[in-house]
Amino acid sequence: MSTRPDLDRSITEWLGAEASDRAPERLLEASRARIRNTRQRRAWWPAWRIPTMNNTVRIVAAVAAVVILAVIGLNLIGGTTPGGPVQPSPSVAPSSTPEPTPSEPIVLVPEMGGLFAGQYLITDVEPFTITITIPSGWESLGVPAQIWGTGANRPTVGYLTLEGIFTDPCDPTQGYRTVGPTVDGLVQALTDDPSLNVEQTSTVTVSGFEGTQIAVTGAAVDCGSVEPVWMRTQPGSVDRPRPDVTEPAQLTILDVAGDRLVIIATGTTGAESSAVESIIDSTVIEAP
Amino acid sequence: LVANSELVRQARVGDRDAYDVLITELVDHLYRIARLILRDYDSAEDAVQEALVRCWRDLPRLRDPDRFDAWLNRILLNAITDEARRRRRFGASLTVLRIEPAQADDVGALADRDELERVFGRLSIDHRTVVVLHYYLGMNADEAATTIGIPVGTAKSRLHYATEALRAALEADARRASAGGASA
Repeated sequence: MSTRPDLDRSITEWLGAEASDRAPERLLEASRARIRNTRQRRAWWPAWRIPTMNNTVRIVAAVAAVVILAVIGLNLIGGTTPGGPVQPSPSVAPSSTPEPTPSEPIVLVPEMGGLFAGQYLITDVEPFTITITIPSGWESLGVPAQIWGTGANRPTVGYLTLEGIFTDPCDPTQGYRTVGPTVDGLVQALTDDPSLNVEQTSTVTVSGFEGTQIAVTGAAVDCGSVEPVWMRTQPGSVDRPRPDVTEPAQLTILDVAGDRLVIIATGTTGAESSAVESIIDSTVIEAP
Repeated sequence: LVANSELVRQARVGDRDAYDVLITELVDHLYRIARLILRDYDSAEDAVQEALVRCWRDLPRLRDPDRFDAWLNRILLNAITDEARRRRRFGASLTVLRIEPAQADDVGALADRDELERVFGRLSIDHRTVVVLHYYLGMNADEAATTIGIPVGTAKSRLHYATEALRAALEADARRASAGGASA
């Protein structure tokens, strides 16, 4: 039986041997590029404190702060900024520092980072053109047509088309199950999968197109060191990890003039569910 | 690793050149931590990139520049947690981390490493994080708890569970080696 010092030494030496790589240069370059487009958030407290501040100075400072805030507030209410608000270019990539709400839809690009609150255009879910309204506090996931919130549960919303449902969750090379081309065909294929649970089936209408909303969870599958997957989706040829019991995937499957569009949402429990629903409700789909 | 305090102060007031020097010094260290916990090269890169951006964005809000290292560790661990969740939801096509020991010293040590790798990879992100903070960064349970932002008891419990899992793996491997030697 190994003693505790032996065990500690083994783990420490093993971790040390593994942690010998240097970061690739592209990591620094990509970070620098994002940092160039990121503004710092100002501190709301003074960076350097005055060490000896007597009560009179404190009171004067407090009154001054209140006056300044009142002036700023009046200016904001008055809306007298010359030239009006600055509009980001439609082609601008989202930065980590959200700007005021733009009035024109911005093309949603698969680059990680914070998003402006406002309308976004999704063009990479072929053959659809989709417009959604994203509230503040959401980010692009770095995956096409996928966003996520910054709340504790980090809810996600994504738009996709199905390429196939895998027959073997541990081995995507084994191919796909047979799935019919309709909304009902996909619901039936998921329902027929013995390793998945399909619940809360309901009829929905999004952007005037009818469909079915379901919640999908999966039984635990041990694939060893491989992460179990359940379907490959477009855009991006994403092999999606199976939902588990603790985190169901909510699928809104729509018939858009004969083409099937899927809206997937995860982490939709609790207070963050309303933000997810508002995004889905805001969806405007142009049929191909 | 201790960050240069003067660079932190300069970066904190918006000096991008100072921040660039700072992250150039720190990036290897951050990358190793991320790779150890996430067990994946691409995920580690994404997590560190996100941490560096968040660090720059929020640096003016750091009250005490002397606490920069602990503060950055916290940002990195949050980014690692987010990245793990992102990958769990969207990217199953992970690059499997290859273990190439620095020195093939003996068969027993190689087997140990394989077992550690296998069991460590099956621990949750939360457990792996505590193991890396304790065994790689040398933090005690109190320091690890403060860095992660969890109660000390939780940190101790995670460390205990993870260490016992690793111990069991090593002992099982030792038994197999012993049985193999006896039958030879």
